[in-house]
Amino acid sequence: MNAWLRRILTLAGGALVAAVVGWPGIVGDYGQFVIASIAFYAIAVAAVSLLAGLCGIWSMGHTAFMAIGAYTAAQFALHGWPVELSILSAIGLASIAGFILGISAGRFSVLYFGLLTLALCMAATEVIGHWTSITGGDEGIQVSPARSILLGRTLDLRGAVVMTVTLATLALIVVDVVASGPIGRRWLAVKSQRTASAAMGLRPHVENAKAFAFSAAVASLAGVGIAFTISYLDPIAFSLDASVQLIVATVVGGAGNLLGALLGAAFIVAVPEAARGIPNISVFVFGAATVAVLLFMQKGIVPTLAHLLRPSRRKAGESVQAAAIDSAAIEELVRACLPRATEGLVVDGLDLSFGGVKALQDISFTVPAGSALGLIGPNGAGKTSLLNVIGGFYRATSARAVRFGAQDLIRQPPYARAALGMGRTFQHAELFAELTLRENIASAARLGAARRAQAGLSARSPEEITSLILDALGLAANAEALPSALPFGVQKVADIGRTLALAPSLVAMDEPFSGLDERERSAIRAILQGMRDAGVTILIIDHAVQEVLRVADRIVVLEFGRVLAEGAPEQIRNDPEVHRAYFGADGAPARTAAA
Amino acid sequence: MKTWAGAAALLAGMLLTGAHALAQVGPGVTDKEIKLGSWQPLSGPVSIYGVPVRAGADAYFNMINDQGGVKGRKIKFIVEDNAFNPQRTVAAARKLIGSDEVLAIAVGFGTGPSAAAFPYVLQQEKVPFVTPYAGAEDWYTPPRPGLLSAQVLYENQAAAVGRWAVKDGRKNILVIHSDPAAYHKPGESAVAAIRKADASAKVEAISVKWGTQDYAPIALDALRRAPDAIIQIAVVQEVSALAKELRQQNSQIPIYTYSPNVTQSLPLLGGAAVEGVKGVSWTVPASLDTPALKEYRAALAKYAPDQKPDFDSLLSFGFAKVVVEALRRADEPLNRATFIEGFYKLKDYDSGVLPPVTFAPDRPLGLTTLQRVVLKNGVWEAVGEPIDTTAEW
Amino acid sequence: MGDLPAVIASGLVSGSAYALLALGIVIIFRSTDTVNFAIGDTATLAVFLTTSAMAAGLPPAAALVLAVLIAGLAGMATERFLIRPLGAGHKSLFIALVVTIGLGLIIHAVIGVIWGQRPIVVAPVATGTVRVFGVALTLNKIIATGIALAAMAAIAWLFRFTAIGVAMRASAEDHFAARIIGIRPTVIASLAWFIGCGIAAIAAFFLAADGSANANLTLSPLFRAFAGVFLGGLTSMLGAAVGAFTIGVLDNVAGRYLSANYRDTIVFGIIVAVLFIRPSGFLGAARKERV
Repeated sequence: MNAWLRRILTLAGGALVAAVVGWPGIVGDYGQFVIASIAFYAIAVAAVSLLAGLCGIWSMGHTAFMAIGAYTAAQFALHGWPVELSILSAIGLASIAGFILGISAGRFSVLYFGLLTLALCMAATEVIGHWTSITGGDEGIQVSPARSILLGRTLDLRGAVVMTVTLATLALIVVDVVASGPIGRRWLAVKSQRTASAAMGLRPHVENAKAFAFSAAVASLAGVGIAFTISYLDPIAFSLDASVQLIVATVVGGAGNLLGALLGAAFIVAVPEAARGIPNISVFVFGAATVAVLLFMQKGIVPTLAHLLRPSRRKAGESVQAAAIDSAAIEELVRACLPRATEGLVVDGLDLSFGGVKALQDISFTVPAGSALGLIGPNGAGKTSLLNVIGGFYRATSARAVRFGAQDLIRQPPYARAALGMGRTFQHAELFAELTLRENIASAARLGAARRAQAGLSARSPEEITSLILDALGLAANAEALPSALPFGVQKVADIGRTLALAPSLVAMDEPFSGLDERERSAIRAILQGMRDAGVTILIIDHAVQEVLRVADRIVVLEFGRVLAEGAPEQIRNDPEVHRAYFGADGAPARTAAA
Repeated sequence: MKTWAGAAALLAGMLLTGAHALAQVGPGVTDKEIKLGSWQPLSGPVSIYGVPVRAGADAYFNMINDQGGVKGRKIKFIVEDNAFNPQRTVAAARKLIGSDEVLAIAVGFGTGPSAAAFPYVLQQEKVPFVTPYAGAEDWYTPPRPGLLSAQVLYENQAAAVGRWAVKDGRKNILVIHSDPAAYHKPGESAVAAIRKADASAKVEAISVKWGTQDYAPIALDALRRAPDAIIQIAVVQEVSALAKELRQQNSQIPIYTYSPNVTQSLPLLGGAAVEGVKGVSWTVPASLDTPALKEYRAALAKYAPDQKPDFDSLLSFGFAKVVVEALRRADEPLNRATFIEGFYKLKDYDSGVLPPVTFAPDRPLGLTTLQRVVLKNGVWEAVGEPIDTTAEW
Repeated sequence: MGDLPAVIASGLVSGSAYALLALGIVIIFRSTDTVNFAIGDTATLAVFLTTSAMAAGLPPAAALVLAVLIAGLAGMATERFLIRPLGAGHKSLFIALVVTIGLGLIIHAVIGVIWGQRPIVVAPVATGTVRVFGVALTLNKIIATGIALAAMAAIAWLFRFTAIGVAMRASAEDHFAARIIGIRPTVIASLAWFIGCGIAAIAAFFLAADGSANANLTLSPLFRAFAGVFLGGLTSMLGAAVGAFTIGVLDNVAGRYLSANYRDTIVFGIIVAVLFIRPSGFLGAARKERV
């Protein structure tokens, strides 16, 4: 469904519900309560679901943020301050708390972070239970009616329900806008490939923290809704049980799906309420319904139904091959989109050891601006380790210098290097799994905009840059496909495209030829040729020695973590030492034959 | 729709019975029926109390209905499960008042959960909330219109228990209470009562997290303090757990507790360890051979055969009896206002289950007396005459 | 601090129940990547069924064996009919978790309907007390600790020295590895769920004998068992057992010397601190992300 149509429908639906509830005499007190509960739980579930779907973070502590919203609202109402102000304050407080918590999310596996947030939920319940002056302690606190400055009056219970429905509608729309916009794609990128996203210049922990802050802010709105529609706050409303209910609702509705959030909320409210008439078995019905839904709709209600309704996708194999690539088109693309390479890479006296084992010793070489350096060596020679030091994922144990242009790289984190103009491709492509090829490249193009502007390149929008890259790399036909639906060769080409979209002046390539057949190799070859002709600085690592020799200006040979030889391709080709290292003393292939 | 149907029924009623029953009859009342609502924790850990409390009240209302009802009206007692959760209680209140249109809420369970429903029940809808199995001092100071109780406050009970320990000659008393305010405040009033009764007595209080199962460290802590009596304000499982740990360590420190634990669950769970525990009870012992108690046991056997006679169902049986008596004395037309007036007509009304109750606009708490009891051979036995918890007995 | 040894002894004894539950959780997690929140309820149901058998005259020792069998079979059935249909892999991690939450609610409600809310007193395997470091511990608890340790030793032996145990360990590292050894993964999953729920039933049985059988029997112990699992590492059986004993001791020490009010908060605070230093628990396998 079209995004704007979806939002307009949400708005219309919300307005309709609000109108029905707000009109006196249509919905009784009990019906109002059920609608209000679904509304405030929909907000909270959307917050949890957003985090799970876009970031892969499962929070069992979101009731803590609901509590922030609820008690802020209660205190503001007590002092007679307007509800608009309490909503803004709740959002502010919750997002600060969420940011602090979210920044550590990347340290832990999903389950462990779940536990950490669960501990937060428990601590919050304890704090609420004992902070009597604000929360009324475990006895609870009565909430005065909300006073609205916009409406110029105090809201009765019916008004509070209308306000909660309105908040839910707006929250769902805002979450939708964020989730399906550039920010949401960035979070999806970080979720599927932390390393590749860091290489692209994103700071994964900061992105997690931002997402957590946003989600916490949304959850706090649910708390505001609870405060005014229940008009009594008690720690039990924010206990572990409530947190678990939010998880149940998220999974049952379908994680990361907004309609799912609404359905999940309706599920946890309506199922027990519907079973009210049947004495003693509401818990049973709730448990059985949960199990039944997940047995038959494993992805949750909404994604499963959506999958059934969607017309079957185009069969794989059709026009998924990369189109032939013209190196002249690449050259033109690079000149249009990349700044001129002016910085060279200098590595001098670099050592790297892991717990006493020396992986790299006294490595020195330079890659002058606009040249292509090939880094070859048998398996275990330390090539990938070296690339990871250059990319910032490992820190050199010691080095006289690791410089890019005038910039000292030794203490730079990985995500800072993209801004300096260092791009990187991956052996396994590492595309963002939940983004289409276009979105993969566009997410990088947005981050590269600053560098293009700085270099005074023509003011093309990131979308235009993306289209240029897709066309030049022959990816246009597959632009809307997800990476997993495409052959590996296409994924690797797209990975290069993603790097070019960052407008780097140096591209470090990890085994661009590995795992490809001859046709795919020739495509990569053409791209490399085009990049080289346009003057991109290239650092290339590969087992495919002949390919590297063909494309590079100079070659560095590594063996056992040391530089074995350095020179022009011709020189290396004839170096007996290199022959020994690669093919053994008798000239027969020894450790690796991937030439 | 409902209002139209109600209006139609009212019109029909006018034609049949004449004009004196005019539009004055309250919600939940017809010629044939009186609707009363209630909430009980029927699921979750607290259902150990909620299930028998519901059974006791159900038994009494059913018995009255089988005897012809109150002035020809059968009582429809609608009970909602609140799972001891404030939000679910608010939901129950809205359903009972908004959809079922009950006359009043009776025998509602849970101090915190019920308080959550007050803004809606008492303030917005002005529905009577009578004889709750709940309560705190601030519910009644000042009195709130429509809120009437026949249950001695937990604070007063704890004070009486403290006074009793002093009268038993205890000089070094340890008060162990759970941490929520519903236990903490009675714990404090026990301490205050002990100090007041004997300024020279040493008294300490420790707070334990509600729901604690492993009482070993608390028992060790208590033994180190070497008190000559322990007053415990906690749920029955925790009283039993502490007693077991203490007796296991060969300590015979006497234990006192308050009314909610005066049930047969305590000897069932605690066995020999709780022998000799002293407590105060809202009701007379459930095993007495008086007509009122015989009636109780017969009703329970008939209407709730899976419930054994015990203090919690007896208490709610007594509450139901007080409610029915107020309905009997209420003037026609029966509505929320005349129902409350019916309560005010109860002066020293003796149900045979609870001590005599008296209500007045400035006296929302119908009674302040308790029966002292002690566990002997697994059965609670009365000690002395009922005591007035507000007096210096 | 004079009673510290007594507090520690009593903590270790409490910890044995947590350790059994923790071990059950880890064995199941390693086999099918499922965090089984229903493990406590499954064990509680088995104990309730055996109380009915005991009321009919079954001796406590036989009842214990019966409880283990019932819980084990219930565990196998859970895996076969509720977990296996969900498919493998990390995608279904939270789905399986929520399914077990739902199952736990169902069992809880069933217990409430059949046996009511009144606690049922269970006869202990043995009566009497034993003095350890000046603290009297019930014979029931001592035997429980002994059986817990014996069960752990038996499991260690099973996993180290039997073909199926080795296959189960291999399968935990790599689900295809077991196939190579020639044992079907479904057999391994069934066995793991049998053992996991079975040993949880041992814990539940002794908890019931110590207090009483009620629907919330394993609520608080399971919570501490999970704390132990996370402290020790979700993938390490030894770590989980050590973690659970640690929690038992910490909980008692905190309850005795620090605050009987904030026992959970103190215990969880310590876990969070440990996790910040070692994000996979002190014996858990660190997941190194490939760069």
